[in-house]
Amino acid sequence: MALLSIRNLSVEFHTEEGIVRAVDEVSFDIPRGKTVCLVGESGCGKSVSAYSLLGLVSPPGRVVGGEAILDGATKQDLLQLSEKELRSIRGNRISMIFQEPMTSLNPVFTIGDQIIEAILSHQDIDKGAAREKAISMLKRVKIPAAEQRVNEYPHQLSGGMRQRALIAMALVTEPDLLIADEPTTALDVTIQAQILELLKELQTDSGLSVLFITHDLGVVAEIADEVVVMYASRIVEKAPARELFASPLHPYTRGLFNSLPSLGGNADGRLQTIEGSVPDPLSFPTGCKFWPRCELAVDGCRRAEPLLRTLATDHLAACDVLEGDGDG
Amino acid sequence: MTETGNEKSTGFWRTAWKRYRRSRIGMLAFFFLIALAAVAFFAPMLANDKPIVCRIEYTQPGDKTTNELYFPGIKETLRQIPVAGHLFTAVPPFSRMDFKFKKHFKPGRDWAIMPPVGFSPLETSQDRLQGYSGKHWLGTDELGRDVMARMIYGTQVSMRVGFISMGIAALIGLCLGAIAGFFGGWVDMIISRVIEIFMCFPVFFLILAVLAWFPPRIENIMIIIGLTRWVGIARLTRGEVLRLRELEYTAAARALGAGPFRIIFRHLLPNALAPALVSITFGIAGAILVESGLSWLGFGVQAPNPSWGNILRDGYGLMATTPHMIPPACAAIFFAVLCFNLVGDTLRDVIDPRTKGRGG
Amino acid sequence: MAELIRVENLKKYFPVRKGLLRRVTAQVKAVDGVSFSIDEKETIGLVGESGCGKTTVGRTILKLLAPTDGWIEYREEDITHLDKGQMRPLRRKLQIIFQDPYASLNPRMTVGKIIREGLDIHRIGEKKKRDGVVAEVLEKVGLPRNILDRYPHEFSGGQRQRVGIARALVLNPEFIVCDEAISALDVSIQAQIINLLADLKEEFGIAYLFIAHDLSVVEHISDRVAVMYLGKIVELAKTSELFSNPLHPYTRALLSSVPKPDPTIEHERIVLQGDVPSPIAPPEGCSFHPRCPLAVGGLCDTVEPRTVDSDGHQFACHVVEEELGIGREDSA
Repeated sequence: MALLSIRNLSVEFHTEEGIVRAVDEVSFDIPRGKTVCLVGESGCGKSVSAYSLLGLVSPPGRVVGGEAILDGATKQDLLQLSEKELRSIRGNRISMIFQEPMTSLNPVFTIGDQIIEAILSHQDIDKGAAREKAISMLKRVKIPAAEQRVNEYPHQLSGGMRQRALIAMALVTEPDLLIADEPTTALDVTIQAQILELLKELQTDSGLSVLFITHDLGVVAEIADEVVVMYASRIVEKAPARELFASPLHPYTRGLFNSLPSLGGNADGRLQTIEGSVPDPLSFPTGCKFWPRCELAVDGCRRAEPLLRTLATDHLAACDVLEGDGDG
Repeated sequence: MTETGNEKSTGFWRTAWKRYRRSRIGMLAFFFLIALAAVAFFAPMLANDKPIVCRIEYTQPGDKTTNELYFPGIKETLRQIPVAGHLFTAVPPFSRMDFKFKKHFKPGRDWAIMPPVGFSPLETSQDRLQGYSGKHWLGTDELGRDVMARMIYGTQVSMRVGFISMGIAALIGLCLGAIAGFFGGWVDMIISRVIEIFMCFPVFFLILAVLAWFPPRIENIMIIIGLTRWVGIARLTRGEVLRLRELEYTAAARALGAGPFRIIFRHLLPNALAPALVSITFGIAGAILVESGLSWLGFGVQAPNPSWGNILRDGYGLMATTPHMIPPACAAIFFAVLCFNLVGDTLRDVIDPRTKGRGG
Repeated sequence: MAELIRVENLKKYFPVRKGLLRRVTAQVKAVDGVSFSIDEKETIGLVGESGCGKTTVGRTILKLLAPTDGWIEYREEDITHLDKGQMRPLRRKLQIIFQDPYASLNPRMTVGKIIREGLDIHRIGEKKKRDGVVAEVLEKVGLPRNILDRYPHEFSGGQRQRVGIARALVLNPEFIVCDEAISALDVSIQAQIINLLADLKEEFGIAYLFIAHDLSVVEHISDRVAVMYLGKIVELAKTSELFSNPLHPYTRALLSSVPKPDPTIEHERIVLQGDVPSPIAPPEGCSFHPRCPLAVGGLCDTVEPRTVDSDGHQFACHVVEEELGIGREDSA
């Protein structure tokens, strides 16, 4: 049984200009001990999907459908939990880290205090023990001179250090799942490399599951076991990482791969591009949301929204034009 | 390509106005202010002892009899517009000479359309200290002058003081604030110190002190309020300009070769204007209060000219016996200030960048 | 190709002022002795991580920031000390495109006015005809001609970036600094803009200084690439040469850090220890030595390495210099 099973998750925003369906019938599993990457460009709904798992979608956004079953001693549907119940899950069984470490950390408290607070809100131990735990966690995330750093304030740390401190805060309670929303996007590439290494290590050590949200396919290749590709609120492709990179099926995914400078590119140096741009969520195209930009589009694409179909082993794509193995 | 439909392009102010319209309170306050401004402008047609329009048979010395239309009320109203008003009224039919209307009007022979309040604010009478009645809607004061007429003319004072003094303040404040913010260095240092010095003074008392030297005419009051209020606007503008200066479109303008004045007036000020506008709106409310306060103390508009403040003062003096002047003056000041504040508040919500129009 | 821009020992320091009297207590050495040249129609990529000074280099070359030291030449004319008035006519030839498509366009101006401004400032052509010129440029950057009265907020990030390009292009420049011009865009839009820049280069013969932190993009578009670290250029070479044979240890680490979109590649990662130090107090000697896997005590921490030119491939590293057996007689 997967650690987290998400089925038909849908989120809507009721704005001044109309109803925006930011997430539309999204379903995927997060297995234990594995990393699932949620990939897509801005506005595709990946962040909102993740936020909704922890009840972090605020009005005018609302979860309007679906379930997210968390496995454990008792199975719970995260989307049905009350705020109080969610609080016992957040930071405890499921932790989250964000893109901007500076805004996630409270500037008026030391790193140590913030980690200790995270521990004490879920575990019944005394402050001294909590402090020990905090220091050992900081060591585990490879922050040098942890005993001194624990008393420092966020602004005294560099970007990479802050992100490590955040990871420490997120993992100190030994959660089952870590949700990471573009945690390395704002970091320099050498620091990103460090953080990705760290995450991989921590995962191997503790059997942690990771839901990693990103738009960088290189990062996906580095850390993903499973990949879920989203476009305009829907999942367009789902596959194990190797499978996806070896043979991407959905025209959007293929377009993404082809537009990367290091892989694609024709002989004359031009990159293959996906024509047009991401549609306005207030006026999504009818039928398949990708059809206006798709090379393979036919008439039928305009009428019916394609469902995810299995086109190869464990490899699903939402495109009615492709033919597949038709495996169960 | 992201399309926005067929509507014409919406600039910042048009979008802001659309959003402003959604606020009922904001619109209510706005209409009240429009009404107030209308009352101020059309005062000579609303409260006057001369008619708006009339036809009189008039025998001039020399036995020439004319029977024509005259427009005393309208003429007086139009003459309020500087320059253009006077030019306009120099032309017939307005140019017909003025005359003592009361003396020559014969009810049977001639006709006239009188303003709703048929009294001049300065017109004394024997009906002293009358309460509210059918003849004098808001009663009369100690000299028998109609209170309603005086209130209407008082509106002129308040509106003028509000807008002109803040106009002066805005002009000075926006320019100096933008210059200080843009140039930085010693220019900024000097202007900032001046601002700080000004902010140390309690404005009201400064005005009183100045009025000890200068005659308490309404023009002086407006100038003094303007010269003290500019600092708040300058500070706000300076802060905005400091922020905007770092934005990339400013660097882009410099890269194109734009000189400092083009950058300040074309790029920085239009973007810095919004918060200053809110401050200006609140400033108008404040100016009205200051003027009312000054008139109340006797340092503002002098007798016999009416102002809400001095009407209130007269009423207050007679509070024990004939307090009927107090409610209208109080209500007028209260609602005017309230509505300006509401407009300012709504404006502030509307221009909040958090809720700006959607982009890519 | 004639030489278009030359920069020699360019320095830009920002003073840090503290205290009531605003005394200068330290200098942020954003750019600390940078030298290179750009030929006509050439694209030089400038890469490095945050704090390396690459954006500052771009702005200083255009005199948007006043250089602290060193000199800048445009077509062999020294422009280092030209004042604003003297620079103005040159601004037609030297332009810039910015990173943030949201902050780089004045939200109160229509697209037409934004692009026209350059023409208005330099009084190019008749006033009446300028809108026509703007429409032409819009077409060149792949936007419809009829958007002159629209406001930036109505467009997407990619479209706004095109407007920014149009603004720079309308003056017919010879040189454009692309200051992280695609970093803020979605991947699929990045490809479109990269193609556009390449097309414009072909059509108009423009030289680019392409500042970026994304190495794969830089590889794709540049003729030569310079790698910066803490205000200095640590390596400069032809693109293919740099990527196939990186010499400086920082370049090697940088290249190996970039995640490749191919999970089958298992490569030895050079993961650098520590963080990027602050340009206020760069380390003694070679500024990279605290993080360098090859650092030699006694040398790298005391003596600054000189820039060595090995067949057009420049680098600044004691250890590699030694390895390649480049003797004292060779000089940069």
